[in-house]
Amino acid sequence: MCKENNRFAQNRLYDAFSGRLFRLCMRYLRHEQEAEEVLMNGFLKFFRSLPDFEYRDDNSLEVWLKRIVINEALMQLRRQKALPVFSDSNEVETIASMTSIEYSIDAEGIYAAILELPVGYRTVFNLYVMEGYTHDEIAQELHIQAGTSKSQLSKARAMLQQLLTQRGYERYRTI
Amino acid sequence: MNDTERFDDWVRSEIESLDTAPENFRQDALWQQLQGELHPKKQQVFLSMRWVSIAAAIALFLLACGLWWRFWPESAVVATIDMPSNIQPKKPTVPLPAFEKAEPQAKEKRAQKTSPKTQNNQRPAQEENKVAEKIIPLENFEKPIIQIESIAHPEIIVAEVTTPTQPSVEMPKVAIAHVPKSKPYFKIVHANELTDYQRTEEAKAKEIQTQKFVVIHWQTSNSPSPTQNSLMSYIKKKSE
Repeated sequence: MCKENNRFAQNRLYDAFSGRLFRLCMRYLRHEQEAEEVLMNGFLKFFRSLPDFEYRDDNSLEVWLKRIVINEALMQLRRQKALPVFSDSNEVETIASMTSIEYSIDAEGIYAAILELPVGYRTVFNLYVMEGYTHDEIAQELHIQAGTSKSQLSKARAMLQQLLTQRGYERYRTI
Repeated sequence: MNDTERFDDWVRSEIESLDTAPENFRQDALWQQLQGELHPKKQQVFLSMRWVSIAAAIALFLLACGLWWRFWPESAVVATIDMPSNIQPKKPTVPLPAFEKAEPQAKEKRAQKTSPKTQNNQRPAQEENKVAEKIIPLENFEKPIIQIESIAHPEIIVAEVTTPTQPSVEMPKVAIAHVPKSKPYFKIVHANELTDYQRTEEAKAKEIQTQKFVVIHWQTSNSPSPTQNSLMSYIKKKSE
C-alpha cells in the first residue's frame, strides 16, 4: 500500500521506524533540527523510491531505510564540512578492552555518551560498530584511508569507555 | 571474541534496544511536514468575496442587457405625424411576444437597431417610393377611416402594424394613408397602445354623435393638406 502512495500505510511505516531512525540521525549529527531534516529527506527518498523496491521481508526494508538515512546524514556532514580532516596515520592505538563486563548499563547513558564523542570519532564508530561497515567501506565513504578509519575507531572506543567511567560505570575500565 | 568485540556487541545491543523515540523528537510535526511533501495540496484559487460580488454584479448586468435586447417591445410600428400631446402612448401592460414570433418585417426593423426618427430621416428615396406604393386609398377603409376622421389630428396615420401573437389582443387594422414625402415622421408603438387609442377615439366619436355635432369629412385621397381642403370644401358647400 505504501507503493500506492497510501497515507495510512505510510503513517504506519513512519511510526514504526521514525523514533529509531531519529536516534540514528542524532548519533551522526549534533543538532535536533539537522537530524529532523535528514530524517525527513530520508523518508522522502524512501517513499519516492519505494515502487522500485522489491520487498523480501521487514528486515530488508529496515536495512534499506537505515542505509538511506545514513547516506543522508553523511551527505549533511559533507555539506557542512563537519567531517574532520583525518590524520593519515597507520598507527593503531591500543585497543581498549574491558576486564569485566556487566550488561546492566542504562542504554540511554550509552547513547548520551556516544553523542558526546567528537564528530570524526563517532562517525567511524557508528559506521563500524553500529552499522557493520568494514574499514574499507568507511574509507570509501569518508574519503580516508582504511588505517585512518581503524585508528579513529580505537580512539573512539577509548574515549567512550572513558566517558562511561566518568559517569560512574567504574566496572568498565580500559587497559 | 576478544574484549573489544564484546564491548562493541554490548554497545550495539544496548543502542538497538532503544526503540522509543527520544523526548526531543517532534514526531507529529515531522509527519505533517512529510505529508506536505509527499501529498502536496492542489493549488487553490481563493477568490475574495469582494471579487465574487463584483463578478456577480457584472454577470447580472449582462444578463439584464441580454433580456432587454431580446424582449424589448417592438412588435408594432406606427407612423405618425405630430402626435398630440394629450394622447401619449402607454406602456404595454400585456406581456410582449417573443422576438422569434414576430413577423419577418418586424425582425428586419429590429435588426436595424436605430431610433425610428433618425432611421426615417436617413431613409433613402427608394424606401419612400416603396411606402408610396403601399399607400392604400382611404375609400377602401371603413371603420379605421372614420376613426381617423373623427379625431382632431388627422396626421396620425398607421403605416404598418405587425400582427401580435397573443389572441387576447384585438388586432388593429392596417392602413397606410398618404404621407407627405417631404416630411415623413414615424413612431413605433405597440398594438395595445393602438387599441387603447382607438377606444378613446371611439368614445370621442360617440360623444360627438350624442351631442349632435357635425363630423367633417375632411380627408380625401389626393389632397396634399387634407384638413385644410376638407374644411374649405365644407365651407364652400355651406355657402352655396
